[in-house]
Parts: sequence; C-alpha cells; structure tokens
Amino acid sequence: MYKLFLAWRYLLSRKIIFFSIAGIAVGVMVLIIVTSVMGGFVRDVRQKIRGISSDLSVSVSDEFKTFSRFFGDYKADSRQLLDEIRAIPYVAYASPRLEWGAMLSTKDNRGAPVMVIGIEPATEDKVSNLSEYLVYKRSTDFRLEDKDPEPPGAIVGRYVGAYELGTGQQERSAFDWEPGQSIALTTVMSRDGMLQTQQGEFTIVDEFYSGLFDQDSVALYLSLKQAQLFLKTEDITKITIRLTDYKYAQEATRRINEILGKSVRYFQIKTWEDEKENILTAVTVEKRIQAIILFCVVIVACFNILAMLTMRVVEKTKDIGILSSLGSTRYGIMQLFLYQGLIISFLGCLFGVVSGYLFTINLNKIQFLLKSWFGLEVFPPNIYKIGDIPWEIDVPTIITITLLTVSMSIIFSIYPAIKAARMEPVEALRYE
Amino acid sequence: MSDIIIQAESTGKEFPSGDRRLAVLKEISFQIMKGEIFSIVGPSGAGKSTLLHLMGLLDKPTAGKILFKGQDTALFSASQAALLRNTTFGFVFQFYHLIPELTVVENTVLPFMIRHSYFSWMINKSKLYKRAHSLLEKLGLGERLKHRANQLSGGESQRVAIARALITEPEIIFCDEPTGNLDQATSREIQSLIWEMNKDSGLTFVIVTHDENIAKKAHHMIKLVDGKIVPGESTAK
Ligand SMILES: Nc1ncnc2c1ncn2[C@@H]1O[C@H](COP(=O)(O)OP(=O)(O)O)[C@@H](O)[C@H]1O
Ligand SMILES: [Mg+2]
Repeated sequence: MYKLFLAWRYLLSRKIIFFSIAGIAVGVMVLIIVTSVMGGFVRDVRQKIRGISSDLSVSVSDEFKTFSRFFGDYKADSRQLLDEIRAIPYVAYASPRLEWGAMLSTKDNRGAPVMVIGIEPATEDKVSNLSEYLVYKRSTDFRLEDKDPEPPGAIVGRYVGAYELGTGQQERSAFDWEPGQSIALTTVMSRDGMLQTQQGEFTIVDEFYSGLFDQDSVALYLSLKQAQLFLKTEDITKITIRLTDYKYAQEATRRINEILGKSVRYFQIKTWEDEKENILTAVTVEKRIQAIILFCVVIVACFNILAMLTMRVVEKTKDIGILSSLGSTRYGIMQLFLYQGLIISFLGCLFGVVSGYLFTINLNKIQFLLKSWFGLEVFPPNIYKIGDIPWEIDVPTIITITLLTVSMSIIFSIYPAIKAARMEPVEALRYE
Repeated sequence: MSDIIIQAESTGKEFPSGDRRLAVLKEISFQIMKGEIFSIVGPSGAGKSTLLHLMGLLDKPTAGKILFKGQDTALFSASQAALLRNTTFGFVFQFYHLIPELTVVENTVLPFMIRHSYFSWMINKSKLYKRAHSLLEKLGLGERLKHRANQLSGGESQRVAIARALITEPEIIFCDEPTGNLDQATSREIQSLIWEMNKDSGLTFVIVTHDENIAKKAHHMIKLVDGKIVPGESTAK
C-alpha cells in the first residue's frame, strides 16, 4: 500500500506541486465555464428558434411556384391539402402561409429587403409562438388601436433595415419602427412569361423581436388575406403544422408523404430542426471547437506535470534505491510516480470543477461587478436579446472533461514513471 | 555440517566503462554460515559494496554464481528477488538511506507497507505500529517516534535504519559500512547492538567495513583488494 501513501507524502513535501494542481484546476475551470456558457447559449438559441418555428412544415420545393398547380399527374389544391393534413391524427393544428421576397421602402426613401410572410392570424398562434415575440401588443390581429388601419397592418422585424456594422453594433440604426408608420412594399413576379411589378402600402402595427438577428432583420408579417391581395394570388407557399407531440414527427411526415403520393418530390417536408439546421449546427460546432481549443490549456498543464515529475524522479533517485532494497518491484516504483500524477490531476479536477461550477452559477453577478467597476460589457445584450449571460451546467460534459483531463495526465506521467522504474537500484544507493 | 546461507562460486562482476569493460570482482568464492557475523574489508574501490549488492540481489553477477541456501540466485525472477529482499534480507547502509518525508515510525514499518495490500495493511496496521514502537524504544528512540527522518542525528538515523532492517525479522542483514559515518562512541554502540542481536537471536550479519575492530571480532572475514580475495588475510572458506 506504500505507493499511494508515499506518493501523497512526496507531494505534500513540495509546495511546487500546488502550481501543477493550480494549472490543471485553471484549465478545467475555464473549460467548464466556457462549455457551460456555450451550452446555455446553444440552449437559448434553440429555444428561440423553437419558439418561432412550427413543428413541421410542408413547402413547395421551388420558391417561385405556389401550391395550387399541376405537378405532373397531381393537382395540388392548397385548401384540400390543408384539410387532409388537419385530418391526420398526430396533427393538432395546421396553418397556411404565403412567403415572398420584397423590397420595403419608407416615406423618407430608405429601403430594405424583406421576406413578406402572410399568416392566418387565427391558426398561426396555434402553430407557433409568434405573438410572444411582438413588442407592443402580443397579438397578431393586425389592428392598430382596436381599429383596422388603412392602409392595412403589417408587423415588421425590429432589425429590418438595420445596418450590419459588425458584432456589437447592430443598434436600431436605420429605422426606428413605430406603430402607425406607413411603408410601401414592391415585388416582382413572373406571370404568363412576363415580369410584373406589384406594389402595396401598409401601416406598421407592431414590431417582431425574437433575438435571432437573421429573423429580426428580414421578417415582415401581413395577414394572409392582405398578402394574397398584394401578390394577386389566392394561393399559399407553405403549410405549418403543430403536432400533438413532437415525437410523432416521423409518423406525421410519413402520412403527409402518403397524401402527396407521387408528387412528393415537388415538396419539402421539414421538421423545425431540419429547417434551422444551419444555425443549429453552427452554434453546436462552435461550442465543440471552443472546447477543443480550451483543452490545450489542460494539455499545457499536463506538460507541467510531466516536467515536475521528471524532476522528482531525479531528486528521488536515492529513495528509489531504498525502496527496491526493501522489496519494491520496478512496477511498484512505476506506480508510485503514476500515482503522483494521478493525485495532482485528481485534485486539480476537483478544484477546477468546484470553482468552475461556482463561477458559472454566479456568472451574472460577476459580470455585473465587472460592468459596474470597469464598465466592461462581456456580452452585449442587444445582439441576442440576452440580458443575462446564459449558462447550462451539463453533468455529462463535466464528467467528460474530468475523465479526459485525468487520462491526459496519466499519459503524461507515464514517461517519468518509466524513467523511475528503469533506475538501477545499485546506482541509486551508491552515493549519499 | 552447519548450514551455508550464502555461497559465492567464482563470482565476477564487470561494468561497462567507455568501450571497455571494467572487472570490479574477479573469481570470488566463499561461504557464509547461518548465524555468523561475516565481514568484508578492503580499501575503498576494492569492490566491497558491489559484492554486497550481488548477495543482496540488488544486482546480478556477470560471471560465476551466488547461491542462497543452495539455490542459484540467477534463476530468481525479479518479483521473487523483491520478495526475498522484503522478507528475508535486511539492509543497513553507510548513509542510513531513510525516506526524509516519513517519520521515524513510518520509516521503520516501510517494509510492511511495501509487503501489504491496502486491505491487509489496514488490518495489521496497529499491530505493526506497536511492534515498531517497542523495537524503537529498545533502540533508545522512544522519544523520537513522530520525528521526521531528516531531523535526526547520524547515530539516531543509523539506529532507525537498523530498526527498519530488523522489524521484518529477516534471516540475514547486509551492512555497508554501518559505522563509517559515525563518531567513535556511536560507532561502538552500533557495534555492540549488532553483536547483541547476533548472540540473542542468531541473526546472520554481513558487514562491509573499514574498521579493523569489527573485522577482527567477526567470526569470519575476507579481504578484498582490486576485486580479488587476498587469501593470506582472509579467514573464510
Ligand atoms: N555502475 C558502475 N559502473 C562502472 N563502474 C562501477 C560501477 N559501480 C561501481 N563501479 C566501480 O567499481 C569499483 C568498486 O566499487 P565499490 O564496490 O563501490 O567499492 P567499495 O565499496 O569497495 O569502495 C569502483 O572502482 C567503482 O568505481
Ligand atoms: Mg562501498
């Protein structure tokens, strides 16, 4: 049993090992803080995307085509398709949409590209949480002061027309949206082989602010009826669906496939995750890359262990001789030094996990202090509509970090341990 | 015939030195009887320590044989040799060789720490500590039990080293200039301790020494010069 006991005593006798422990602790702490914040950030982004997304959507593959037309042998009738989808048992609600690109312009001649989204207010609220993201009324009735405005109402994304000046500078720069403001929309469509211009005037009734810049900078909601009038069509481009439970997504997709039959290849059926795949993978990949980069801190700390233990082997040459004269095997000597590395990394992980955890759960207090003392803004809140720094303590992540760190330090202790085991006891004993 | 515990048969040891080989021991043959005090004398550099290390299984001869109770030690595996060092041999060195991070008692029970697993150590711990206490008290170290090894004088350190060698109740103790670093009075104390233990419990001692007194008092002795036994001045077979 001498190995662990002696390893412990050896470590206690040298204050320098506290630096090795601190090195590991700092690495682990930073890893835990950053993965927790990134985890919280990913969770928040997911939640936001989830909030404005329906469970499932059915859209026409080519965005310049609308629903009701012939697809080979299939005549798609949007109303009929909507009814058939609503009849699927897993489908709680389905709502039609008409999405179209357009240019927006204001009275003072400033313009911005927008995505016109025609929604059916009665069903839209059942399918997504859109009204929760409205700044003034939290209702998608397109009314202004309880009257139907003239020209008709529109809900504009908060950052429509905002200059992208770079991170941290996306203030409400270009437009200062106010209910009652009037705007004009222009778009082109091809009809009968000719490009036709459509124009319409609308009154801003509300502002849409989800905290997802790529949504807030393009979305312009109209009622479906007004959108159809504007685009001179009776048709839709998308059906959004709320399921009774998201776990039925596969099953519902299969049913919709059946309804569409052969013409399914002209449509896209996507879950909300498919639809927002790009941004979801982007934030997840970023989280992973950050973790990998930060793991280098741990590796540096492991080199520190390697250097320190190698020094200890030289210092302890005589002890190695004594221990073998008392009956230690080479394997035992090896373990003695491996244990030293193990104890350092174990203690380092322990302190790192505890301090990382405490730091993370108090992150917002710390940020508040930094801000009030130094005016330092760690997380500009207006970009992501995040007032507090998000964090999420993920136990499997912490366990992974700990296991990786411990195994890393074992790997880095192998060299000094083998060096110690190779020592000739006689050489060690010969001199004082 | 009284029992032979260790026997050297034309034992030789060479060390590589540059691209030649340095013969440190040549054609060494002798016998050590159970229960005797056997001493090895000779000038410094003669190969005394090397010979002691060969007998203590800390190193291997490059020629000839060392027999322990009639068995060729070259045939022992590394773990058999380690076990023998732990249970059957004791070592006392000129420079005491205690572990400075451990206390006097901990140094004394170290052979048992090495022998036992965690579990059996836990079971035997208090018994072994008691044994160490009474042994250290007998050696006059009763006041020093909790002291660190590096806080002791030379004589005290050597007595701790002797306690560490004795505690496992070995069959043979190898001493490499045990009094070489001590003043005369302490040296005499250690000597009388060795003779007492030899008389009381019939423990075998192999003592490498410069000290003519020790050599004369020993039951048998050999003199080494330049790695060879000087026959006229040796009394061993
Ligand atoms: N590992 C080694 N490599 C080369 N030479 C050695 C080695 N160990 C001992 N020697 C040499 O062997 C000779 C005998 O050493 P040693 O047994 O320590 O002598 P003693 O104990 O009699 O003073 C010395 O000349 C020493 O330099
Ligand atoms: Mg010597």
